[in-house]
Amino acid sequence: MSELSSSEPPSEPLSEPPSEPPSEPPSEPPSEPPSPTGPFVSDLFPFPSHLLSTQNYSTSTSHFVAQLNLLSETYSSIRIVKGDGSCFYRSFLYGLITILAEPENESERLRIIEYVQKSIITLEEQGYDPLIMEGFQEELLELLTSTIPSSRSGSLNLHTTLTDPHGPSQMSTWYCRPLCSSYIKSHPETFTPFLLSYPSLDSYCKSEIEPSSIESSEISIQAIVKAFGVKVGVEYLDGHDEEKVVRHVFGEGLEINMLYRPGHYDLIYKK
Amino acid sequence: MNSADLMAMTSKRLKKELKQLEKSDDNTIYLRPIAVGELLRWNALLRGPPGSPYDGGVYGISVNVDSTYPMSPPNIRFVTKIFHPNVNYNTGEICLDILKKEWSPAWSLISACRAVLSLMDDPEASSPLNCDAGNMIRAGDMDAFNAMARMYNGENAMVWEFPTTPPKKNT
Repeated sequence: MSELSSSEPPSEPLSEPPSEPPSEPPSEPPSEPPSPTGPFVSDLFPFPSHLLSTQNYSTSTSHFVAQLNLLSETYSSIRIVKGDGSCFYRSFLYGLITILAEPENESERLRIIEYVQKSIITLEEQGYDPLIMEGFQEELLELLTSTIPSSRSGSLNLHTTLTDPHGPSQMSTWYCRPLCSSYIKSHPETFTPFLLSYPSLDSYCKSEIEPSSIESSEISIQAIVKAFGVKVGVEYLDGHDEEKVVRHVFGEGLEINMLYRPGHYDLIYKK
Repeated sequence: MNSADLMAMTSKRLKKELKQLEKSDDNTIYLRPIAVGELLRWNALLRGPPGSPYDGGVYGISVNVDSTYPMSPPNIRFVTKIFHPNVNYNTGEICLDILKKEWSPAWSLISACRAVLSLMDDPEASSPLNCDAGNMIRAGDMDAFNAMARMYNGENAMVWEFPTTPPKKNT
């Protein structure tokens, strides 16, 4: 795996020539998305040294390294999330479940369990087959209810459960999508103005939210944070400005932080 | 790799779908596993939609899933040869977005079959797997397309008997 001994950014940007190769397509993000065959969510790695040691960031062509250093004032660790089109939803679910496992968030855990229990009724009203949806809901409820506010050793088990490819997280991760659709369809006044190019909210949700290979969008992020009543902070590592990193905050409530590299989300944790 | 648990998820879902099918009396689609106890390989019979050139015909399709279902789509093919722009005449391969990149686990085997049925009624000439059929429709020559489709319907699809009552379950 990776050698994470170096906690300092490399002083030399590898052995690349300082000038930009002219044939390089400039729009190509210089970060490699995590392999789609890796674990759902990785162990905790030190931030930003893990990214600096695994990505070929070249200081001469972009401001990624400068931005990572700025972020390191706030964040100290990262979990790399599988890059298969569901990275946002997977990050969201992992972040949510682990936060809800903290004893001080017990009342939020109970509130969200209640929300998920009732979700099947709304989905049925919107034309989803409840018998099909139940299978997914049960898996998510299993995750939420087995999340007994835990000691440190309990959180290890939780990580194992959440990253088990045959465990409940796969179906639970997908269930976030219909919950998102459901929120959009029940708030047409909020979402219709942004989706005028689609024949209906229903067709938008069917083709742009529910297929598991489709990545999240600003619309789906807005919807999911409202649906669950939590907050997601996204730090945009776009390489544009060496002096600042744009942070977008969605929703309100318990906070999940993510790092966005062009096309991909990972989980990051504050110091 | 332990596929037993994943299979549990898949088989739980498929059993649920089968149970629902056994309770329904759909007279346009008949969908069942190919044998009692089998869950991954299914066959379906689709009644050609009234008003389409397939009216009166009954079309056999194969519906196969693997242990990643319902996270990934079933593989659905026509067994009965059909003249349709979105179906390969020789292999039965179907070009339908929900069976590929627009698949979501909210679909089921029966709803996927319904989507195939509505594709029969509403061919999409822009992405043809059967160029002859696609060209006729794109050229606006619906008479020619309908005549060809009807001819093949008579030749290939009239031999099936549509099951009126579900066969007895062997236990």
